[in-house]
Amino acid sequence: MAAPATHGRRSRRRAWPLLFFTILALHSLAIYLFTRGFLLTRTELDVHSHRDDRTGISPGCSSWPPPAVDRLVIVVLDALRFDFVAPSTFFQEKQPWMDKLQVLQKLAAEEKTSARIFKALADPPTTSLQRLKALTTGGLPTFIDVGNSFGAPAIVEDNIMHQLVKNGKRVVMMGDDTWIQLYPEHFNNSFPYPSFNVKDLDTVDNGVIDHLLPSLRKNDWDVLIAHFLGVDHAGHIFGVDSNPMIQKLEQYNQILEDVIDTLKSLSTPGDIHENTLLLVMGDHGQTINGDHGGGTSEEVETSLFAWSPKSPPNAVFSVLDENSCNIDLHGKEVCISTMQQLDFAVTVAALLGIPFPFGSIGRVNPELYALSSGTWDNQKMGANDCIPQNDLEAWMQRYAEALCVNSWQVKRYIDLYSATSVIGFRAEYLDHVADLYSRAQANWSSVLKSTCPSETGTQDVLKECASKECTSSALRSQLDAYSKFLENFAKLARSSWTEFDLQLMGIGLSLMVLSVSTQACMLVKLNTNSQISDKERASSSSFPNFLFAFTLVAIRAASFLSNSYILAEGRVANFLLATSCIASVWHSATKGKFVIEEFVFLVLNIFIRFGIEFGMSKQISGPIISNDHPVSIICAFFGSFFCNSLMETFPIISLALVAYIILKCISYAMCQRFLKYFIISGSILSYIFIAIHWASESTFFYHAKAIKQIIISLAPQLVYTIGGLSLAISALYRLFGPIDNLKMNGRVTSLSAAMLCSWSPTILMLLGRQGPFVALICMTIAWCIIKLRQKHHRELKHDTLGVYVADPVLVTRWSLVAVCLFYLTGHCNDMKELIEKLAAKIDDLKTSLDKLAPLARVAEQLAMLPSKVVALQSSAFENQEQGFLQEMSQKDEKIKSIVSMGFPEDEAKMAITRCGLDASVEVLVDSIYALETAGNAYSANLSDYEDTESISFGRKKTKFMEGSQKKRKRYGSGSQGNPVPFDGSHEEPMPLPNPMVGFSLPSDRVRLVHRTLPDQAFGPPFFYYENVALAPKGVWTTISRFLYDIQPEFVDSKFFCAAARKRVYIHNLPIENRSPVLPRPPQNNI
Amino acid sequence: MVDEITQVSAFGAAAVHALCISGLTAAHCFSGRGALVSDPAHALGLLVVFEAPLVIAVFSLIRRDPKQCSFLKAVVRGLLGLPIGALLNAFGAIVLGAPVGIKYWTATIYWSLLMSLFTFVPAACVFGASKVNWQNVLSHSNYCRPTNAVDYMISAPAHGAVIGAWLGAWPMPLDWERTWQEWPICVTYGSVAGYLIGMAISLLLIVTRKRRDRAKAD
Repeated sequence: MAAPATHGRRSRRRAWPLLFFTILALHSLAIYLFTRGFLLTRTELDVHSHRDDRTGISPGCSSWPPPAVDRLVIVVLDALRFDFVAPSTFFQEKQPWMDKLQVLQKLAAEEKTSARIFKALADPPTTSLQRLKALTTGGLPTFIDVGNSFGAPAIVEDNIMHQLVKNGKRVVMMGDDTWIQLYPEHFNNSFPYPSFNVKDLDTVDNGVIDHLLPSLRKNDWDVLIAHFLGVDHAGHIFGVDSNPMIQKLEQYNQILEDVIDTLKSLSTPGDIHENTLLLVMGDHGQTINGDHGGGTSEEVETSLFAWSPKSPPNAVFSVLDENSCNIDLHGKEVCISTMQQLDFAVTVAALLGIPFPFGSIGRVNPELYALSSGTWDNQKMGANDCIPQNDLEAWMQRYAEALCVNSWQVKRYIDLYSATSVIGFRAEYLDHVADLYSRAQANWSSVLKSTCPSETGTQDVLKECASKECTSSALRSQLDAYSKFLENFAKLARSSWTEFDLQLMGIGLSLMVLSVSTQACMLVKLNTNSQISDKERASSSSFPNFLFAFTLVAIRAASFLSNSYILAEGRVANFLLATSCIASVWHSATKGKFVIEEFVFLVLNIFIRFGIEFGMSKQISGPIISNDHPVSIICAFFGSFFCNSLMETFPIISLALVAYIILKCISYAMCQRFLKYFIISGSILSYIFIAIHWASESTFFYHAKAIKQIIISLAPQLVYTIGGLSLAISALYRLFGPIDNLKMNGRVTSLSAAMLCSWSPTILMLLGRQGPFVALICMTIAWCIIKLRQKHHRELKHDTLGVYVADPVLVTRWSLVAVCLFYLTGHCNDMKELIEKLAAKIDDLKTSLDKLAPLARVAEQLAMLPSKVVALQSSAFENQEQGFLQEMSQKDEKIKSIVSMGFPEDEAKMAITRCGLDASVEVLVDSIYALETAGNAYSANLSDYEDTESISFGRKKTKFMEGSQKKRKRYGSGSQGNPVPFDGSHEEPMPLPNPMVGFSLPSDRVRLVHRTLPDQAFGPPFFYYENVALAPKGVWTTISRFLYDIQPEFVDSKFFCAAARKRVYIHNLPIENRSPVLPRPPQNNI
Repeated sequence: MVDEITQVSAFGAAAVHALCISGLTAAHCFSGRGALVSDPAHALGLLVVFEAPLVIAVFSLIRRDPKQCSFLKAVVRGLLGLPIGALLNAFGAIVLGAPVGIKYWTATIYWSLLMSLFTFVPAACVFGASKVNWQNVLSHSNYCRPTNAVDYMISAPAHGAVIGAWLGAWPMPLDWERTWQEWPICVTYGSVAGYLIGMAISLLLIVTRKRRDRAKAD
């Protein structure tokens, strides 16, 4: 650093570090403020309620409420909108999806005292995982709860499931496997089905249906949870206003009817469902497009239906004050109440008589509590059997006690939460809430006196308040006081856990803008400072560079607007990195140079790319590595033994390389003798430990099992200790060691070398076997980039001053490399599950896809253009007289040959009209034969058939089109639509026995395919499996493997109808004599 | 050297481009509607077979130094350039993330041959191994300087094809589940579109340059 600088410049340079520190601090502050407002944090408390928690703290409610129901059936219909359940008369307009769950409406109208529809208001975020958490914990989960690890979302907080298990209740679960993720060991019996595949409408539902009714007849459970996913998935794919959605709802109606019938039949006194409560509920709503996750009223409003076979007394109506009633379709009155989903957990806990979850902040819902007849049992308990009471008063007494416990439990939570959490509530609000509580408690003791004078022994109160109205009014005011406390606290919790703090976010954002702009200003100033001499030259050469870097960053930023690009983020980063490399190779080629570093960089890019892809394929297909992956190709080429030994030894070889490079680096960079030797020996030791650790894990080297165990557990600890020790010693050395005369640059280098050495073994240990490989790539890339930078500076001829000036493209490349390495190390896998869940379910980003839709359509049109031109040409050709004559002669020839085979002439003619002229003779014969076997019913005249077909199709088509229009817009597809199943599964009789085509396409010459069926699959029972063809790699081979290795049959429906859908069928249905379908009718040509 | 350059009129350039396009359309007509989507390897192979002789012949005709280099020599240069260019293009594609499974090999090979025909072969035919000329063609600065018409005819379509192919890769990760999102298909569409646009730009540049020259001469 022999800078021939003036005095002023030197002093300025001394100020740079300070400035950079200021900017760093500003950046951090801005990020902190923004995230503080945006990432709503809530601390999860790992404290649980216990059965014997209540030790007479407050009079009258010294124990958890007694059970009111024996068994509970919870049917969760995912994404059940409020208007799916409520009668359409409650809304301004009747929509096609309303009034489909007739059975619920009928019950609500006929059995008013025991059945009721609730409008349940969920809190955002309205995603299934968060909602399930909220339903069971009674809290307000945010996206990022402190203490929640990404990998295992199992709930730490106290929840109903935990309480159920602890209090000896048996829980059965069927349906969505999210429950299993949340409650891995809480269920006595569970039938989970994968919820991941959004396109699959039926697997989960059918699984639940298979198990639901049989389970209802059994007696081995206390709580049954059945979670259906069909409505959610139908919404995601088709939208609410679509046929599949309505079909789903109709299916659910049938199931619910069966469930209710079963319960009714088993609800006679003494039977297993004598005191059972049925809850049918949604976890959240959805928008018309089927999206959810946000806080709009459509997403938040879901419904809850409660019904118990046993009716509570009529007095229940006096409890139900807040409701709106209306006449339903059949002229009966239906009433609907509103409740908060927050209240669900605590209400269920109160009904089942289990301790309330510790972190629940809900209130026992009066309407739901009153619906269960168990709460009306006039059994006296506790201290209040002093005055004879009517039903209502007894109930109110009981409810007041429940609320008393409820308030106590919430207050306990508030106290603990504000004592322990990182970010508590604001003090003044807390004071207000605490004040409300103490007032309610004071009131409670006076109410106790009024209702139970005999115990408290004060006759004055009895005198003052002798009448029953007085008792009930006292109780009422008590209920109000508790409710007020609970509602106030819920409001406070909502404001801090579910609402973004816009002010903080704004401040953070503006601070960020400010600090970035000061940084930019500073950099520009620095640049001009150091480039005074050749300013013009520098600006002329750096401008395109700057533009290029900016474009790369802009593309990357824009790619976050689309779901698909987020899923492929690693590949996108790699693509951009490769683009920048290729561009710079191009650039140097125009100057006639060949830079070796650029080339090395390109080759490294390939490595990174395969690494990323390998990591992804490992994640997706599990044990099956797809056949066309490069790694497996290499393995196939060299044999598996070689491959395995390579896999085993490769990490160790690359580890040795990394160690060598790092040691070289230290011995070069550090001058302090003591520190140097210490660190060198420390890192050698830790590398040896890592090598031993891996060697002991592999099967190559044989060790005794005990030694193996010791090494496996001990080696990492040793490595971490050495790392920490060397870090600490180098820090101490810097603080107290002799002051060296090194210059700034040298000091920085030696410091960073020490840091690198102490960190690298730890990081390698954590990364695992692929670590050294990644480290090698990282080092080579760093070398390339540094070399390139040096060259860049040499070109610009400021090797001394230009230290501060960075090439923007290189900086961008650094950041892209970092992203690629993130994906290369496979850290994305932890995030992946989360991301995919979010991507599939939140669909917030789908709105951005909407914007892309027109573009997509343009692209598709462009893609269709050449084929359209050809179509025009061919149709023009067909119109020519010449062509017609040729056709005629062809036709005659074919008829002749068929007649010569012994078929009547008119049948041959009909077959030709049916199959088209270019169909081969075999096809024609096949179709004639098929017609004969199909019977005379269809051999009527052809125009008839065409008529019926077009009518039936027209109807179906328009019906679907209405529903799917919105969806189609979103997916940007022009020619999608009309999903009328053409595979023979719809009811309209087809004139041909089986319209499915063989293994080839109808427009080609039909090859008769002889499929060989394995013996065990031959003959009945016949099965037939069908799904979309575009499944992830390896899925179809897997399916085929499980289905007797039958070859899948690929059929593209675009040859039969306007929709292009590739479908695959695996079946053992006989395919002999299967004749092809008609070719596309001429009027369908576009 | 400057005197030896074959001058190509705007009309000639248009004719050359028209011939190249005719090769593409002929291959397209021959392979049939939608063949690129249903059987990309076959369609791309047809495109290469139709386009290769046309491109090599046409650009060998307008070779840079007709006196020292016979037509045959230029053709041989073009034929040599075809696999080299294909190799470079394939390497670029793989660096950028093209799949390398066995299933894709034939399609990748044909695609890179086609890209080589768009980018590498014309320059190889015209320039041979002259380094300066190659640099001129590669560089973007030759759009700003007055250069030879042949330079425009080579560089604009080549740049167009490369940029088009790069842009054509963008729809691939989207979840539309279209068959044309498979590896070489949309990239091929992109490169062909870019190639055609590049041709149009080169014609435009030649015409404006001629006009400017005439104005200067006046």
